[in-house]
Amino acid sequence: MFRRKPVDAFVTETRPDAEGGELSRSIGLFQLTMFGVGATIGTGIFIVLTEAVPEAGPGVVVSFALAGITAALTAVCYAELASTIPVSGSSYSYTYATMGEIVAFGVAACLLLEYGVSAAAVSVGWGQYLNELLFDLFGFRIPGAINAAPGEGGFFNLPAIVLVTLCGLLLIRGVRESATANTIMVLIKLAILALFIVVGFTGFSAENLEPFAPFGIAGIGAAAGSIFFSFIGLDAVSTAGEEVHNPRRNLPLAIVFATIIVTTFYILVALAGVGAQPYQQFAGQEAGLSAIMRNITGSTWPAAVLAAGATISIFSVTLVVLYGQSRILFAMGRDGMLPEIFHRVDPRTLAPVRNTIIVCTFVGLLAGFVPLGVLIDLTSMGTLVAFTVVSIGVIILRRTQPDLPRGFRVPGYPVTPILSAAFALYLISGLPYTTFALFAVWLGVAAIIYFTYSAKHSRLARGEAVATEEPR
Amino acid sequence: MNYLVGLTADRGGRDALALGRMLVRTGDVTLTVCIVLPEVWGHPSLARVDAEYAAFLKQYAQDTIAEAREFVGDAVQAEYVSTSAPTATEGLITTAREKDAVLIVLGSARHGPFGRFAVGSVTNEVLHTAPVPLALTPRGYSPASDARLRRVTCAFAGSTRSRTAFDAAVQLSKRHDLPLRLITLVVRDRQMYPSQVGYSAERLVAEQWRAQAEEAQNIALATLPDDVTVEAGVVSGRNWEEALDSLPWKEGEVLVVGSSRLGPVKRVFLGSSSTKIVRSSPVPVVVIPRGADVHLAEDTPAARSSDLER
Repeated sequence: MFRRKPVDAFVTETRPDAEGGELSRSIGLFQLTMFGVGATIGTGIFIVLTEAVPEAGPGVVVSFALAGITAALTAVCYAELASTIPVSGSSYSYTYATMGEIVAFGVAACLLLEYGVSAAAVSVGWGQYLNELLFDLFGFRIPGAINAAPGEGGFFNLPAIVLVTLCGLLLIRGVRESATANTIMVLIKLAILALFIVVGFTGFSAENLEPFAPFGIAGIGAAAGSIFFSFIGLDAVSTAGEEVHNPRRNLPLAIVFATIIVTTFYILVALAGVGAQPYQQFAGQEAGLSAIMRNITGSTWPAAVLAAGATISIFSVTLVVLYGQSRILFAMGRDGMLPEIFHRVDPRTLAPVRNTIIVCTFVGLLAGFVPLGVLIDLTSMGTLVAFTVVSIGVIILRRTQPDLPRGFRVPGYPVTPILSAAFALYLISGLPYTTFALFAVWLGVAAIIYFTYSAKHSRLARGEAVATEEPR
Repeated sequence: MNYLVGLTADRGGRDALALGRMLVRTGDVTLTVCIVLPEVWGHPSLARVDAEYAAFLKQYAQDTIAEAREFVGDAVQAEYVSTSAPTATEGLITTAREKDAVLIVLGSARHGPFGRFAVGSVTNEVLHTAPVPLALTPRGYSPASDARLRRVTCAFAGSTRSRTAFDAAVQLSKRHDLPLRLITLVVRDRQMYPSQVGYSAERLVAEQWRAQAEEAQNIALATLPDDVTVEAGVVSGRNWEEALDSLPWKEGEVLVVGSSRLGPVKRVFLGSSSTKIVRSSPVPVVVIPRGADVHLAEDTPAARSSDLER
């Protein structure tokens, strides 16, 4: 149950092909930073204020800083593991190598929350902005009955389901976002957030910041937990390891730059937001940023511009996250942890089609039928747990295999990983009890799957020598 | 057994003729070279302009055919025909049916890179309506005048469509008594940026695809009779062109692929790897359209296909 997959086994599996399949080290510092920013902005900032401000009040600005620091610390830990175990599968693979199979399976369950559930949350947010865009441009809204989850006064959330379906079709077709497309997306996102900040500050009123922390430190901590959702993706930088030019210098720098850019924008957005309207108004505000803009300017066009930008950039984020989810399940399929169906490549499109269909169905159902707040908190929960495990993994791997070549080492070891884990645990402690309950249920389901299927079918368990597989 | 060449008076027609000449040098096959002319209005017109035009067309066809005859030479058995039809596609397909052709050889459009095939408007139509396999000639294809077919390679992906291609390749190798080569292409030209799972994720997918392909190849090879010489392999590259170029090719080799004949909507969503192979292949490609009659091996006339009416 605690068997570990040898690190060289991972490396063998993904070793470059003989015929020049090696990816060139072509990513420089700028692009790497753009990857971090691109993967991060868009996951949460467009929707998270609505959920977080009612918890913390104007103090939400501090929550953003807290979440940002945590994200940066864990991203650094990710970078070390990614440079030591340069494989796909993210923290699932790292954990498999450091802490054993059952922990890896638990982490995979968390990742399903980080990717699958966050994709659902993000697509719900997309629906809100699409609706806002329709309203600003044409003056009508999609009826509430087909635009909200059952708990929120509707039957199901059609726009969210449509978005997931579209992304699924693109992925099945084998569409990828190119590095250039990503940079364009980043610029769009930063531009509309800048627009929001500039317009937001014209409506700034210091009175709105009083009282700064109506719910005290606890409120700020709780909000930071939810907000962490919007920092998902910073770890994308660390997984680029093998393609990065001069990773020793560029990886940590890119993580730092991306974190600074993202956190600065987030804090400014939050400040502009809470300065523009009393914190009580945030609750239940759909397509929050656009609504605030409309209220400040009294005209619809800035809101429309923002909604249009959000619609485009959230689409790209959903695509990336769904892609990530399908590839994690693919990696699990190849380890024998999940049935073979997750691990078949379709001869027509050369993509794991059935895997993608299953992922999109799951995410589509979540997006269509579960309220946004629940999704956000669950995502944060899963992500934070996975991040904590990764931070601990750094310490474990340093102790068990100190001689492994590491492309990048965490600065300030062991303080950094310990701090990282501590921050993550603190944020977890602020999440609501229902989230803990749901998370426990989820882990229970994962445990059942593990003991009934995975433990028996795992390729390591069946004694298949993964590491010595003949290179073809 | 008869192969049909679609003749045009340009370089593409010359290339197709060169391929046709090479194909029929072995295997007891005859060649029909067909030039399709626009239909003229059958009634007399004012000042007899129509008759003048008809006379011009006749002369033009005669000249082109004379040139073709000279190019092909006497070493192969060939018949030269000209036909009038509303469209080139219709003329070609009608002639193929009349002459019981089991393969139609076409030249490339002019816009493609030298040494590769570019799908033009006529080829595109023929690809979607042809009742028989098509041989597509790369631009500037010029084998020696006494060259003959040396090997048949089949692009194989393990899908039902590639089963058809495989069967056709086996038939072709039997008819021309050639060794067969089975290849699967592993292409990793698409990377997601940013990736949240590491950039080796696609490599993992590619490795799995390679394993599946080898499995499918073995199943297909097991069905072969013993008298066929066959080799099999998997090649990879960052894109289709790189993968295809990394293979050794003989002079006088053709590549057989299946084609799915997707409708316009499906094409948008699914794309087609056969289209990409056709565009990237350095050797002539024999495309087996879905539902086409494949009678390359035995000496029976091609059955009528319901595809024509579709």
